Amino acid sequence: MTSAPTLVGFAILIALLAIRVPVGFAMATAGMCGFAMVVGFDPALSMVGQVAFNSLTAYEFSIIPMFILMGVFAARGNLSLELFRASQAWLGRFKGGLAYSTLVASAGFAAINGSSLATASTMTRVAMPEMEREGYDGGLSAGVIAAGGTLGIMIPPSAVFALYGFITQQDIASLFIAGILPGLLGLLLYSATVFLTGLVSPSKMPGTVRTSWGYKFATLRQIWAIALLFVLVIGGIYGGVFTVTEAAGIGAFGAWVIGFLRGKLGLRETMECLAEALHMSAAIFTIVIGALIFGYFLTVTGTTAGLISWLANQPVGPYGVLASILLGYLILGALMDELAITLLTLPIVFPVVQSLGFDPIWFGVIFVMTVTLGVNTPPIGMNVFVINQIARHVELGRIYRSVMPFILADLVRLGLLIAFPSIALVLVNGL
Amino acid sequence: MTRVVRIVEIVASLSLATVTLITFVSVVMRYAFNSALLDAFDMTRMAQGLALAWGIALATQRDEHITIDGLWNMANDRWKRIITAASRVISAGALLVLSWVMILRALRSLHSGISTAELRIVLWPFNFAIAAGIAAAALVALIAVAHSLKSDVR
Repeated sequence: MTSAPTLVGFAILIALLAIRVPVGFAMATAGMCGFAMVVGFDPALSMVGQVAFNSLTAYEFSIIPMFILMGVFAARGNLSLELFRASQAWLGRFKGGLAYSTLVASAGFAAINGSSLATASTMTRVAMPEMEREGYDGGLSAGVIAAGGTLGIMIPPSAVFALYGFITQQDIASLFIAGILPGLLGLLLYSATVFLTGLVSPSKMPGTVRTSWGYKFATLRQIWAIALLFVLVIGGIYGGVFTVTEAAGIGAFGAWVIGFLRGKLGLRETMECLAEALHMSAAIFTIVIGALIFGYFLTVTGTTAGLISWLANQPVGPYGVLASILLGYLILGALMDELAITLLTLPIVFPVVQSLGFDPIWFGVIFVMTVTLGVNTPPIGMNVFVINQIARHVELGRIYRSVMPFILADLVRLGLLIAFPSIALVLVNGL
Repeated sequence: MTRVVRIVEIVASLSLATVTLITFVSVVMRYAFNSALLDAFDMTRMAQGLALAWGIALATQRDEHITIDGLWNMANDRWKRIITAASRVISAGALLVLSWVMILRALRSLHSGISTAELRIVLWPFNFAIAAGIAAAALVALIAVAHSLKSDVR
């Protein structure tokens, strides 16, 4: 299954990643060296130029910076704060109410942005100070935010689903809708985890916040902008008004208009948001380019075809192969960024999954869920890093420990999705 | 240097805003006026390429690329300096190769005279501007290497 160039390519990649070479540059270097070993130096250079240029200027890829920009504008326009206020007003009276509020607000914010990191960083700024002020344990607060952040990937729009769709040539609109029920199931299971934590350690979530009915309904009126943006983007896609790529641009523009009309997005703030989205997009595209170069190397060495035939010959049946693939993703997810995993492995794994007869949309959902688990697990839990960067007083180890019960909830959700594929597919088939 | 970085950031950010604006105007023109914005497809691609290429230069200058820090976190100060220097050398090398092939590609588009589908706007100036963004990233990475070596000598 493996050849000398494949081993050399992987050895170079691992060595470069270990010495902190940026993921994108490491994959590009390893991929180019490996490709040159097999095909020659000139074709390798030509391939690198083509991949880099085509990735930077691919019209379909504009979905990534546009959804990021939409999330940044929405956060700056205070939409996340309003969501949190509304959830807090309705759920604050329960024990652990602020934790539930954070989860619901994360799910709501996920509906207008496509990234777990954006959801986690926004909710850390919005919810963390409030939770700590009310006497919630810092570790628990960070754990809830880290878990809530993963809803950003599952509930549409989602940048990872979009990438999955590009690579596997699946309908992105179907993928988006397939993520809705699993996302809501996640919200339910995370809430159950908060409830159980309250039973086991009541001191971690002491206070309740009661509000009048008038205030409750007033907060609901304030979240019209989020509802409007969600309907505009998701309704526009499913109503056939515009394509997914256009929806991303319209969503970004719509989020800016809302922020502008509220006086939150003047020229200076708009430029700051554009720069923030630019930096995040550039970091992602560096990985996109590197992963595609590495993908070419894997193709030319026959690693993909070799892996398919090797896995197909294992005496474990389709679900055995699926289980080993998911186990591999759980391990990879703990070590690498989810976008890097998507770009790096899908060209290899997706044909295997297809050859085993699994539904590609369903696999998209469980794939995204599995790699997303990694954003909260050591050693490379990106969500945890982001929260720790903003809330420096809560140590990494404490956040990792607090997020573990939510990881267990995620594993339960993964099991349910595998056992009952209709959770993901019922809405897709209904449309 | 700070001023140059700021100007680059403004231009790249405006390119990103252009992508948003073109998309919005295209959809509005399609539904409100039953017409299309000419060259919207190619202009979106070029604006996105410009934004991202110069965005990569900015991310390199600010050391914002995604890395795996496990080993680095465990290393002592001396090893951290060595690892950082090695990482910067390799990143600079990768970016130099990338700039070289992007410049070659821009040169090819100059010779072929490739243009947009509708307004026949030649694309080579955009391609050179995109390649220049990656070249700027390589330059910034080389400066970072020089800084690493200088701090090691000290």
